[in-house]
Amino acid sequence: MKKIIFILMFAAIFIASIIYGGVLGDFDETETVGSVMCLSCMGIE
Amino acid sequence: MKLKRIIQIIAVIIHNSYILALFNGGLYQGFLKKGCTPILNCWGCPLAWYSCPMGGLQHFIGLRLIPYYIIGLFGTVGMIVGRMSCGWICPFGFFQDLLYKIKSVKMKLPKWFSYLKYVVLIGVVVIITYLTAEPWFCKLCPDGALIAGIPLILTDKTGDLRALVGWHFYMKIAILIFVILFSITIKRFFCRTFCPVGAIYSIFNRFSLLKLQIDKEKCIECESCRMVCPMDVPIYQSSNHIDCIRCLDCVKVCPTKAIKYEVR
Repeated sequence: MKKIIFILMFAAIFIASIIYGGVLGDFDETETVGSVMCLSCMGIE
Repeated sequence: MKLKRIIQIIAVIIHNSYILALFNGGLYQGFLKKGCTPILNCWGCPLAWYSCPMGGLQHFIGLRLIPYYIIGLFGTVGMIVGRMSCGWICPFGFFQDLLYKIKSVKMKLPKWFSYLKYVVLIGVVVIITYLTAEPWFCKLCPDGALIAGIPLILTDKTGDLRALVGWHFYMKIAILIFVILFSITIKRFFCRTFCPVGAIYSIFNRFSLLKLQIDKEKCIECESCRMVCPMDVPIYQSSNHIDCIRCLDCVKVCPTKAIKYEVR
């Protein structure tokens, strides 16, 4: 039971981290990079 | 066909099925790119719907920002299923599974190779990216070469991209060939030695909600589990092994039913 509480507590912290990142604009920041043709991914300079 | 294979195929389709790219050129640039998939899947792939978490992580590190969202994503998935996503939904892992089916000389990987992925994670993804503000893992990533570099160069109608091909592109292709050759002879070579996503999830194997349980009294150490394991893990020695991808193949093959999966 202690282990489950420990896991759920940490999972809640990580979910909160996702939400906090979203509030800070992490999703938009991710989109700005993911939506351009990434030259590093392609191996082009 | 095994359930795992069906899910792996579905995962490939879910991650990389933006078919319009084949007709329009370019890549998907819509709303879904705000989201990262929990596994390694290059966002530069013309067919990709989602962003790559490793690319995202390096982007934030390069900007000297704390990657709350990416840390939260890895942590949430890791705490619930450990490294399971590597075994069931990673397209590059699936690719290596298929490569290992090619008939050839098979080799074992020395145990210490498993720790190289932490060097890649800390050294390349965190330290070098922080110092240079460049996504150095992406620059070397064989998955990027396979699903982004090669397709985009081959489908480049204007020739603009092809004109930019140079030593960096050829180096990525060389790394990809190296990984492919070793993946034919060694089980999931890239996942076990270099994958930084696997390195992150492996830390959670010890704590995750889903875990494997070994009944030591039933286990006869026949190594059937190790033979069928796509990561060559002796799971009877350690049920929380860093390389266990929770594919559950060992559960099915164990002759004495000594291995079980359970929720803590």
